[in-house]
Amino acid sequence: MVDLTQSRSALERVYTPGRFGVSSGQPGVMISERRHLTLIHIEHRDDDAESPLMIATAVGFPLPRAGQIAEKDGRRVLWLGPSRSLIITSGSSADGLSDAIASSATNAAVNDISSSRIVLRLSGPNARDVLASGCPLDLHESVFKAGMTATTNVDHYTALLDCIDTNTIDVYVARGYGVSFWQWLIEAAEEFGGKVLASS
Amino acid sequence: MSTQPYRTQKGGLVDRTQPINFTFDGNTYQGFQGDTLASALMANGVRLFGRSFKYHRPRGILGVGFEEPNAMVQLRTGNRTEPNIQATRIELFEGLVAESQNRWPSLNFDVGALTGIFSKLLPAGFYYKTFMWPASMWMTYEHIIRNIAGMGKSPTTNDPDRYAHRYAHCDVLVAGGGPAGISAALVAAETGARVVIMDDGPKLGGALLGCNLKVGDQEGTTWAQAAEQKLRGMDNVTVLTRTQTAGYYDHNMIIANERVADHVNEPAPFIPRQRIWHFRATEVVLAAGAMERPLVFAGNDLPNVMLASAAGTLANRYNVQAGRRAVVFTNNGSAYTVAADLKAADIDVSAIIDARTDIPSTELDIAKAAGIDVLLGQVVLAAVGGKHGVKRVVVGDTPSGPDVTEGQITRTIECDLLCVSGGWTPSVHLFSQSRGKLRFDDEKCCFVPNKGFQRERSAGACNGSFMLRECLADGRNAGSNAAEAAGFKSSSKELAIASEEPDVHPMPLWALPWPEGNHDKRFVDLQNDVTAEDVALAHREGFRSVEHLKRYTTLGMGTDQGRTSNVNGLALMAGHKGEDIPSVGTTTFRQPFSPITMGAVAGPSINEQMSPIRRTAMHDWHEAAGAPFVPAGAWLRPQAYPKPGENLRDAYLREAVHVRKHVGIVDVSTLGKIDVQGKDAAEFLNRLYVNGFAKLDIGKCRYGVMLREDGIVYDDGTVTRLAENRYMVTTTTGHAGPVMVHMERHAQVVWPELDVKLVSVTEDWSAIAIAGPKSRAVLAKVTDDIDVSDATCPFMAFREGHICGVPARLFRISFSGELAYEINVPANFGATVWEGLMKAGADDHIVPYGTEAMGILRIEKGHVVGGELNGRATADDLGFGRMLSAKKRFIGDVLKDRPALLEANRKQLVGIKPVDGTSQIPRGAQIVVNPTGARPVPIEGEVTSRCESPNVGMPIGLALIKDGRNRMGEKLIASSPVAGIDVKIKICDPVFVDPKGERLRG
Repeated sequence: MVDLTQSRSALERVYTPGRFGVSSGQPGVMISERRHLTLIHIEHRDDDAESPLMIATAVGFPLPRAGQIAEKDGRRVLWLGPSRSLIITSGSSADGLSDAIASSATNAAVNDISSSRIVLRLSGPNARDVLASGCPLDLHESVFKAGMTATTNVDHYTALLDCIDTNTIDVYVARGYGVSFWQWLIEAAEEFGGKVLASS
Repeated sequence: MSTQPYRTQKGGLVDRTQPINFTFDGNTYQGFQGDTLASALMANGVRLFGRSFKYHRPRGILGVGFEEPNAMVQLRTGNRTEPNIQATRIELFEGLVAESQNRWPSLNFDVGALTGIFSKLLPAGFYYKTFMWPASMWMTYEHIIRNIAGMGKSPTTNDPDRYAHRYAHCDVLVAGGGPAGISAALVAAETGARVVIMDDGPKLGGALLGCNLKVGDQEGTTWAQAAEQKLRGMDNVTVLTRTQTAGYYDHNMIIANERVADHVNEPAPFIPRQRIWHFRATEVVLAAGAMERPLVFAGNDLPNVMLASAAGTLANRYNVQAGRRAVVFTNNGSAYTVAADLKAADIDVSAIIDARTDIPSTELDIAKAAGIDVLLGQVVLAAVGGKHGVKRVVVGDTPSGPDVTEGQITRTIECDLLCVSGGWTPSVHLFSQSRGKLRFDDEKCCFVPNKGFQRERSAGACNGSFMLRECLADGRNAGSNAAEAAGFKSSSKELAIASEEPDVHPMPLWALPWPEGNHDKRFVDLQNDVTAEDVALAHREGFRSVEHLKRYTTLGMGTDQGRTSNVNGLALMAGHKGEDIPSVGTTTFRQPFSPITMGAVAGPSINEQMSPIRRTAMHDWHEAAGAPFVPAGAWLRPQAYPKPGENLRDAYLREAVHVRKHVGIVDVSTLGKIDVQGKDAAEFLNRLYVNGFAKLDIGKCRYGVMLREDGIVYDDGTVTRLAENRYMVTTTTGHAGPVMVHMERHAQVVWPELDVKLVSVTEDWSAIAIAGPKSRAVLAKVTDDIDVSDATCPFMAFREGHICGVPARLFRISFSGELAYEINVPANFGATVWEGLMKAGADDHIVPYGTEAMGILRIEKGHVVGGELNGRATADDLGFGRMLSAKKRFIGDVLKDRPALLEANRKQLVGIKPVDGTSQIPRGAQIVVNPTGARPVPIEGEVTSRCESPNVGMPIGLALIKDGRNRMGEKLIASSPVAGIDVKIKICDPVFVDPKGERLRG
C-alpha cells in the first residue's frame, strides 16, 4: 500500500476552501476536489469479444454502453471511447483491482493512471452554467443526464465529464493543466457566487 | 430645472420620475431612465452629434437604432473608453460620459471641415490615386490620413472589465424580438420546445415600441411587455435582451453578443461586462426587422434630416420632439402614420411631400384626419441649413426620369426637421450570412430572402412583410413551422388583430436632381461620405462590379456596412449601367452584424488563459527555489536555480560542473511517455523505429530513432520492455503529442491487423533524472527493494520497486553522459520523491539543475535535440547510420535511400570549437569559408547547438557541416549576419566529454 499522506494534489497551492465571487445569497456552484481516487484505464481491441467479459468478471458488472456510465459497489466505469473505459474507484474497492483485471483479461491493456487527472466535483444550481461557459456540448439537464459521460473541451482544456445527478457533474482534467484549469473555473464561477468545499 | 426643451409631457417609455445626469462633449445634460444617449441629447435640443468621416461635415442622427451611420461617439473615459459606439444604441445611465468623434479642436469649430472646401479635389479613390507614389512613402501617408480621417480612439491601458462566453443549445432560436419574433417565440414556446429569443434592445418589442399601433385591443407596447413577461416566466424559454445576434454560421451556429452590464457605469463585482453566446439551434427563425431607407438629394446629410421612423420613434417612445416644424418627404405609404404621430406629439407638420402622383385614399385619409397638407408629385430637391440643422427644404416636381439633371423648384418650405422615407430595406444580413440567396422584390423595392440554405425561415419585416398584421401572422407561422421541424407538435393559434396601416409600396426613387443654383453633395453612404457623384465616377472609371464599387468608393464599408446605403448605391450603379438592380447584385454580408469589442471576442482567454500552462508535479518546488521558467510547448521548465548573488549564467555553469563532479537531479517529467501493449507490440515498434525491439530483453531499455515516411529523422527516445507484450516509449517533449498521433494513426489505420493498444501516460508519471558520479550512492539510500549496483542494474537496465517509499520505475539511462538514472513515480508523489532525493543527497552535495545545465551536458556529450532533429537530417547525417536495420521494414526505409539523401556531400553532425578557445559561437550561425567573399557566399553548414562548456573549458557547439565527418580539424568561420559576429571555428568530434562512455557505464 502506498502512503497516501505522501500524495500531493496538483491544486495544492491554489485550493482554498470558502466562498468566492458574488457573495450574496446561496452559492450557485460548489467545487470540491476528489482526491485519492484510483483511475484504471482499460483498452481492448474492437474485435476482441472475450476481454469485455473477463473485465466484467473482474470488475463485478458489465462495461457501459457508448456515452454511459456503469456503477456498483463503489466502482464507477466510464465509457471513454470505442473499446476504452475508465474505472473510478477508491479505498477497499480499489485494492488489487488493476492487477485483477490485468491477470483476468490478458488481452486487454490495463494502466493505473490515478495521478494523471485532477477530479473536481461541481454541484449547485449553476454547475452546468459554469461548464457551459467553456463547453460546447449540450449540457442541459434534459440532454446530459445522470449516468452519462462525455470527453469534450471545456474552454482550452480537454475534459472528461461524468454526470452524477441533475446538479452535480465531475470534471476530469489532465493534472499538468490543473492549476490553469482551476483559475479558469474560478473565474467562470465567480459571477454565480461560488464555494470551494474541503477536498474529499 | 427644465433642461429638456424638446421633451413632451405624456406617454412613451421613458420614466420621468428617474432623471439621469450625463455629459456629452464636456457639457452636462439630464435625460430620463429609458432614454438612449441620442434621445436624451435630442430632448436637450442637441442636433450636432459628430463630424463626417472624410469631409468633416456636421452630422446629426439619421436613425434611432442599428441603422444609425453618423452619431458614433467615444463612450466612457480612461481604461473603459470605447470608440465608434452608436449613440442611438447607448442606454443612458447616471454619470455617462461621451464625446463626439472626427472633430478637432471641437465639434462646433472643426479644422478638418476645411477639407469640405477642397472636396472637389477629394473624389473617390483620391487616396489611392494621390498617395501611390513613391510606394515606400505609403507607410508615412497612412498615419497622417488615419489621423485626419479620425474615428474613435482605442484605450491605451488594460480593460478592467471581464468578458465571458457561453455555449447553449435550443430547438428554436428566434433572432429578433419585434412583433414577428415575439409571435414566433410564443407559439414555439407553447409546444414545449427549448426556445431562445434575442433582441438588441433593453426590452422586447422592436419597432412596436416606437409606433402607435395596437395588437388586439392592447397598445402594442403593452402587448410586447406582457409577452416578454410570459416568455420570461417559462422554463423552456431564454429571453436575452441587450443582445445582438451577430453572426449566423454553418450547422445553425449563431453567435450573439450580450451587453450584460453596458447599461450601467461599471459592472457589479464579478459580473462580466459582455458575453458572447455560441448557440446551436435545431431551427432558426429570423425576425431581424427592417431599416428605413433615406433618399438621396442635395444636403441630405444635414443635422435633423432624419428617417421618418426615427422621428416617429423619438416622439412615440422617447417623448422627444425632433423639431418644432417638420416636413415629411416620402415615396411610400409608411411615412403617413409617422406624420400623424408627429402631429400628435405637437409637432407642426408643414406638409407631406410625396413623390407619387397617385396614392391610396387610406393614406390621404390619415393626412386629412391629422390636418396635414399632402403635396403629391413633389420631391425635396435640397435641404438647406447649417451645423445645427436644416432650415428649409427646396421642393420641386417629381423628375420624369433618372436622366433629369436639374429639378424645377416649385417652392421652399421653412422647417427644422425633415423626415425622409425611401422605403424599407429588410435586414437580410443573417439570412445572407447563412448562405441564403436573395431576390429583388420589384413591388416592395427591396431585396428579400429567396432560397434558404440552412434550417431557418424569415418572418416579418426582414422577410419583406412590413405591416404589423403581416409580422404577427408571419411570426406565428414561422414559430409553429420551426417547432414542428424540430420535432414538436404545434396547435394552431388564433391570430391577434393588429391596427390597420398603409402598405409600403415605394415608388423607385434613387437620386433626386439638383435644384438650380445648389450643387451641394447628395450623399448615398453617410458613414463613409460616398455621394451619388462618387458612384457615377466609379462607373466612369470602370469600377462597375458591385464588389469594385464598394472597394473603390468605400460604399458600404465601415462599422455601418451599408445598412442605409447599399440599396441606393446599387440602384444608382444599375441606372448607370442600364441594368436592373438584381443583375447588379449585392456585396457579401459578413459577420458580425454590428461591431463587437475585442474584449468580448477574447472572453476569458487572456493572460494565462490565452495559452494554458502545463506544470509538472515539482513546479511549486522549482518556483520556491527561485528558478526562472522557460516554456517547452505548453510546459514550463526550470532553467536553473540561482543561489543568492548568482545570475542565471553563474547558476547554470555551476550546475553543469557540479553534476559531473558530484550529483544533480533534473525534472524531466515533460518527456512524452506512451504505454504500448499487445501481442504485436514488438512488431509494431519494429515498424516504427529504424532499430529493432523484438529482441530487446524484458527489463532493458534501448535508444530508438524513428523516421518520417520520407526518410527524414522524426523523433528519438527510449523504448523499455516492461513485459513480454508491454513497452514504454519516451518521446521528446515537443513531439509527445505528434508522436502519439503518429502511432495511433498507424495502429488504427495503417496496420489495423496488429494487436497493439496505446495509452499516453505522460501526465501520470513524474520523471526525475539523477546524474553524476554520486547518483548511485544517493539512490541506494532511498530504495530498499531495488539493487542499484552495476552488476544487477547495469547501463540500460530497467527495474521496478520503491523509491522514497513510492512505487517507482527506474531506468538506467543517461542524457548527460554521466552515471545516471531516470526515476518515474506517479505524479501525485513526484514532489515527495524529489524532496526525498534532495534530502538523501545532502551529504553528497546534491543540487537541482535546470534545462540550461541539462543542455550544456548533452552538448558536451554530442546528444541531439530539436536543433539537430530539424526535419532535414537523415539518420546517417546525425551519426545513426549504423542503427538502421537491414533485417526488417520500417517507416521511411524506402525513401531514406533516395539519391539526394545518400549524396556524399550531405551535412553531417560534428562538433565545433572556437579556434581561439574563448570566442562565443554565435547562435544560429552559418558555417562558411569566407563570409566576406563574393555573394552569394557558399554555405558549408550551420550551427545547431552552442554553449559555454565549463567542463571542456571553452565554448563548444554542434553543427551540421557538409561532409563534416571527413573534415575533422578543418578551420571555418561561424558567421552570424544577424548578430554581426564572425568566429573562426575548428571541426571536431561531436562528443566532447568521455567519448568512450566510461562514465555512464561506471
